[in-house]
Amino acid sequence: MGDQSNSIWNSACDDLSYDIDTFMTTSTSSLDHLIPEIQAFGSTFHPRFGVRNKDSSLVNVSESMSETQFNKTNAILHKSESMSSHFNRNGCRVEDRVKRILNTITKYANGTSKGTNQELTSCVLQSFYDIASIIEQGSTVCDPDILTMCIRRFNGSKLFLLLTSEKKMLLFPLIAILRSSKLLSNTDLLEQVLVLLRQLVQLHDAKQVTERMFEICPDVIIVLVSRINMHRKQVQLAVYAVLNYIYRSFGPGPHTEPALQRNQSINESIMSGIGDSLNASIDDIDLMSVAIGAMEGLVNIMQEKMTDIVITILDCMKRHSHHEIIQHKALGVFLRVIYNNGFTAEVFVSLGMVPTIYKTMQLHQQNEGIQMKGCGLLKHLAIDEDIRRTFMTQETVQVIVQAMRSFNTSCEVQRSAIATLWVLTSDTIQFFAHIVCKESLDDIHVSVFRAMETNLQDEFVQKHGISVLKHLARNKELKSALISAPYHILNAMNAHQFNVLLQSQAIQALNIVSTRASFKYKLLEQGAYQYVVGAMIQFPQEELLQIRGCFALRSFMHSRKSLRTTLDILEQEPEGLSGVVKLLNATMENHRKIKWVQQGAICVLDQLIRRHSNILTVVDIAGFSIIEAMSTHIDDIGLQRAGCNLLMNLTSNVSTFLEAPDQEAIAA
Amino acid sequence: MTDGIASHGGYTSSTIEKLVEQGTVDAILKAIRTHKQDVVLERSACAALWNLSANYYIADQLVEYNAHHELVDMMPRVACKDLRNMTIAVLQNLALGNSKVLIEYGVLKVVTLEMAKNPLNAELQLLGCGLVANLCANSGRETVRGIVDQVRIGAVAAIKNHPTTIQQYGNMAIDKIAKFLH
Repeated sequence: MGDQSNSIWNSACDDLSYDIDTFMTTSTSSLDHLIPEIQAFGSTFHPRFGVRNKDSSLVNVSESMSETQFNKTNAILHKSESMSSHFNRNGCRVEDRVKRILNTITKYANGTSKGTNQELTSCVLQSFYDIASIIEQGSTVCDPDILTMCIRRFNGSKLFLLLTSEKKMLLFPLIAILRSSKLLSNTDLLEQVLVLLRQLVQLHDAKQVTERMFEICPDVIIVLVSRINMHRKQVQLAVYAVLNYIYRSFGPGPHTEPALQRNQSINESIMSGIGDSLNASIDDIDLMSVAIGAMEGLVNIMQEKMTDIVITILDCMKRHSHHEIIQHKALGVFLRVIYNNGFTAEVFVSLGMVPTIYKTMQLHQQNEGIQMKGCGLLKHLAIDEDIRRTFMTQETVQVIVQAMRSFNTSCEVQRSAIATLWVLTSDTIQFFAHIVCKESLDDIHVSVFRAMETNLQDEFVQKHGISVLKHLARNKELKSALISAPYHILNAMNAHQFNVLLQSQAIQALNIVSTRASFKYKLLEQGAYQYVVGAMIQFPQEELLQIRGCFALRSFMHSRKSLRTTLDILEQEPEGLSGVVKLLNATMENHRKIKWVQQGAICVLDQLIRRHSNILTVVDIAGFSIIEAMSTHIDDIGLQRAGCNLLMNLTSNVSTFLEAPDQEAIAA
Repeated sequence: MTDGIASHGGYTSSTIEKLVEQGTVDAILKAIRTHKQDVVLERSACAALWNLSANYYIADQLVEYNAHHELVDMMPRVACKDLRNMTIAVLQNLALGNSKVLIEYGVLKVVTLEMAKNPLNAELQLLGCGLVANLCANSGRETVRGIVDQVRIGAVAAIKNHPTTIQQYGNMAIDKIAKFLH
């Protein structure tokens, strides 16, 4: 800068500074001449960042500037900022300000300005904030076209990628724009805003972004969904994508629930909006896959009946049966609907959902998600016995077994499939055996064995596997095929010793499986007695487990051969007979009021005294408990019978059972 | 007669006494009283009473607990032949030291009636004669005089229809009465 120009520049600065001071103190000066001057000034040195920081790179633009000039410039910029605030307060000259801000964003987004990344991003964010403040104040001066252009520039710019944690700060202006109905009549602008929002959610930690969104605008979901029914694919895609991200990261909770549940009419309009949108785009695979994905999250918190939407999605599944993503997401929506919306299985079945599920599971045998969700959905549909009987066929079992075969190492698929088998086999075994052929029954237990073996550490698989085996064991024909069942049940008991529910169910299953004399012997050989007694000692207060334990022990000793084996095992145990009698006595004392515990224990004691030498131990340890049980449950005929029978044997000196000829041995 | 019923060996008397101390008799009698229509229960209970009554001292206790009331009540009511026979068997044991109480309660009358009603039930006749003999053997002259007709009814039924072994018991009963009457 030359001396003359320096002098002119200094003088201009002084004048401008004086004018601003006057305006700020008296507010009587005309603004008309002041604004262009400041704008001109600002175009040379950016009003906020251009010269304030002496170390910044932008200062290099005016390297030749003297110290005095620099100070003066800074002072003027300060003043102009104060004036700008004044403008804002008084609603004056907003147009100019908006233009300036938009120009700033465009300029920086284009990368034409110099500066550090931090300066640039701060500047842009500040500018967006300014815009948002203006929009929030209800100003109508913001030109949607310029705003659209501005955001579009920004969307594709390097600058956006430079934003890191500041990205969240963009939410405020974006939501402000979204809430402005006037601005959003411009579809281009809406599209750009939503694309930017989607990028934000995608690139940044979605949960943090979502939380911030709800802080800024609790109605954000309503705002988003209300924009959905636009005839522009990009808009719809963006809305669904944003919704999808919100639900995936956030799910139902204190933020989302009030947003959608507080107003039924709003909810209904949202649902109808989505329904229309889905109907209009049913053949558009891209849109439908994103939309159905978003629905999966939305149905989480919507309480309204969604029959129309379910029908549309089902229709979509049928039309695009080969499209894996649609099939997968649609099954997800149905699962959510059945969980959260009080949708009954009856409605689903009446809509013809079951054949569609079979078809998709058969077509996409290698898709883990489809297999898992398909099985899960079938389980829910099959819970009600009457409904189950309307659709259960050979095919039902086949698709489930196929899923288990295809993903024998996938814990999720195994869980889902085995839970479904558990529900299906809970029907009366006559019905089940009538519907399902012998080969399929074999397939079931083979699949269950495999699942239990592969997922030994998974409590859910083990628990439900045991239950399925228990159900299957009710079929006399099948029981002989379940010879390996005790091995798997005992393995499960060993792996989950502290899971009371599993232990209880396993003991019950052992009891049911061990009805055949040959099984009893095998069970005892494998250590069933020790496992049952171990569980009873481990959980002394668990009524059900104690009942099942007592009856299982009785069952083990029910044949002559197995009784002898049990008594031999007892003799080898450290505490021997007195150990088990003490356990039974403790059980009877702990559950004095529970007649089944008393009866079960009495029955076991009755078996134990079949070896004559055991009588004295039983009388010494458990005699009082036996009499107490009979007195407490005087009205219970089963217990009285068992008690009298035990007393009869206790008072007898002939151990008839063991000493009578062994009919089995004779027959053999 | 039935599985699980003791022969009268007097074995494990200490065990049985322990059981009785713990309240076994009361528990059995309560069960019988509460479930009068249940034959399975009555059978087990009666068998237990029979086992207990083999012990002389416990038999006295059973009479103290009025076990004979339940047995007398049960005898004509039950349709099960085995059970009816067993009640008489228990009474036979009880009669050894408590014949007066039993006769006063009308045991003899009921038993002889049963014998008359079931002339072809050999086991009942046998046990009935045994019971009559026990009652007579342990009663005073006056008591026996009062029951002559009843004994005759029972003994005659037994002698008429059954082989020598039972006839012997019947004759034995008549002999015992005759001793008192002479």
